[in-house]
Amino acid sequence: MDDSLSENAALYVLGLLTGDEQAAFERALQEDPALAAEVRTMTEGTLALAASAPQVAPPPDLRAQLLAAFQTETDAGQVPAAPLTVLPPPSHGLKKTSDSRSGGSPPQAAPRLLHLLPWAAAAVLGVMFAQQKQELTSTRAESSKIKADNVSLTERERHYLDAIRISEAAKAEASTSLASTREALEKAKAGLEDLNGRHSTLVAELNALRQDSQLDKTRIAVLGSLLENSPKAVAVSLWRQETQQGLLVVENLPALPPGRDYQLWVIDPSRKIPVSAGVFKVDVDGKVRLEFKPVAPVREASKFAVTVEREGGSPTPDLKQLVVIGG
Amino acid sequence: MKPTDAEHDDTDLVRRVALRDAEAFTILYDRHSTLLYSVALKILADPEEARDVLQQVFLTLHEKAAVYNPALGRPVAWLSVMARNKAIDRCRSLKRQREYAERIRQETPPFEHSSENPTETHNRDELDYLHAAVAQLPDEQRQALTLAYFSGLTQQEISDTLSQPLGTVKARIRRGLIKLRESLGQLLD
Repeated sequence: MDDSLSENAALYVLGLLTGDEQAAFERALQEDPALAAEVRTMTEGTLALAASAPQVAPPPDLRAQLLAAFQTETDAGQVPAAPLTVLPPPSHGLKKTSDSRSGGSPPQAAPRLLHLLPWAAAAVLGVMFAQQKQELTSTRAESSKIKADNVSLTERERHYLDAIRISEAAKAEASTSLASTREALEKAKAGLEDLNGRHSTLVAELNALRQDSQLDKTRIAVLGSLLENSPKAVAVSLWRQETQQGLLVVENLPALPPGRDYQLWVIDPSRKIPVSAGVFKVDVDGKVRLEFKPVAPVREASKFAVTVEREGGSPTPDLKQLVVIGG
Repeated sequence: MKPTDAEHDDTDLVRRVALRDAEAFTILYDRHSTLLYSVALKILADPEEARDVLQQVFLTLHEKAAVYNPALGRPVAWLSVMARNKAIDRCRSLKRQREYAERIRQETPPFEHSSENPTETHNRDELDYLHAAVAQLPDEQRQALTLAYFSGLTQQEISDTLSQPLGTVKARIRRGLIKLRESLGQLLD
């Protein structure tokens, strides 16, 4: 196969020939089986290009619509709309009529016309019948098209109704979620106000202590919570080295089960073991004010810690049960 | 794989469509509509327009099934060329081909292995095979062919877009299509 013909086959398949080129090519195509084979080769080649497009399924309603249209056209095609055929009247042969049309003497014209009356009547009836058939066919086609359109519209309506339902459900869910978020926000706000209030109280106490002339001799330690379930637990320890006495103010510590006590420890770097400063329980609000005095002399109170111990306290702290610590 | 059975089956289905067989029409639709719609969608980038093209293709199948010539290609190839040509015509009428050509040119290398939605109408292996065939083309042939197939530009416009002489573009298109057909030989023969 000549390269230029083969090129034209490729361009023909891709619709790239100009009008004249295409007409000439199609003429050649009709006469040359080898060229047809070349066109087939090129056409098959384009199939791979078609498949390189991302594969996306068509809209599902189109199938029903096309099938309805196909059915409609097919139904319409079963009734021949044209040409219209007229049946000969029973008492007269077609040939005779034809002959009389093609020739015959004028004096016999009147009787001949009379003979034609049944033919004319039959023709009129035939035309009317054919027209009715055509109308019926047309009506059927129209009806099928309307049915197909209805199917499409119903599907679209269902689609929109589904979309509206989904949208309403999402709206309701969003409203619930918004209400829940508002509630959580209110709670958080209240908690924050509460914390602010307590912070103010502690600051006030601190300020009061600062006014104390002996404040410079007082060590103040804030003990932070190590409890996952009570992150708000807090304690402040005031310690006077000179008198070996202190005051512990605690808030938000959880109540302990029976048989358990909180125990305060003073951590002195000069000692291997923290010094116990007493045991305590908290009230229902998790609060306590405890004046304490360690069981042994403390050279330097670097940190204070509270642990959970057995009731009455332990000689050494259980560090796994550390509740608050600070220094 | 010997798809001649499928081919004969498709050819037989087209003959049955010519005889107004709704079942044959349905089978052909189910088998090829995804491929044809995808071609139209790739060209038009508009689902509504692509839908119209697919509709036209199947209405044309209905009307022209009797004049289908198996000597010029398998039914699926015939239908895909029809879908492509109708989409291109529509694209031209919408005067979009210029910007689309630019998009295609920019998108072409490297070859993208597209499998957004696996089609139920085509065998996965067959699709993979077809993808591989395109992917294996030399870049310059693939670019010329992709542009020619999807953009609807004229020969001269393709030549200008690729900054290559017209003769070179024609040769690349021809060699690319022959190579694709050769690659598909095992699948089709």
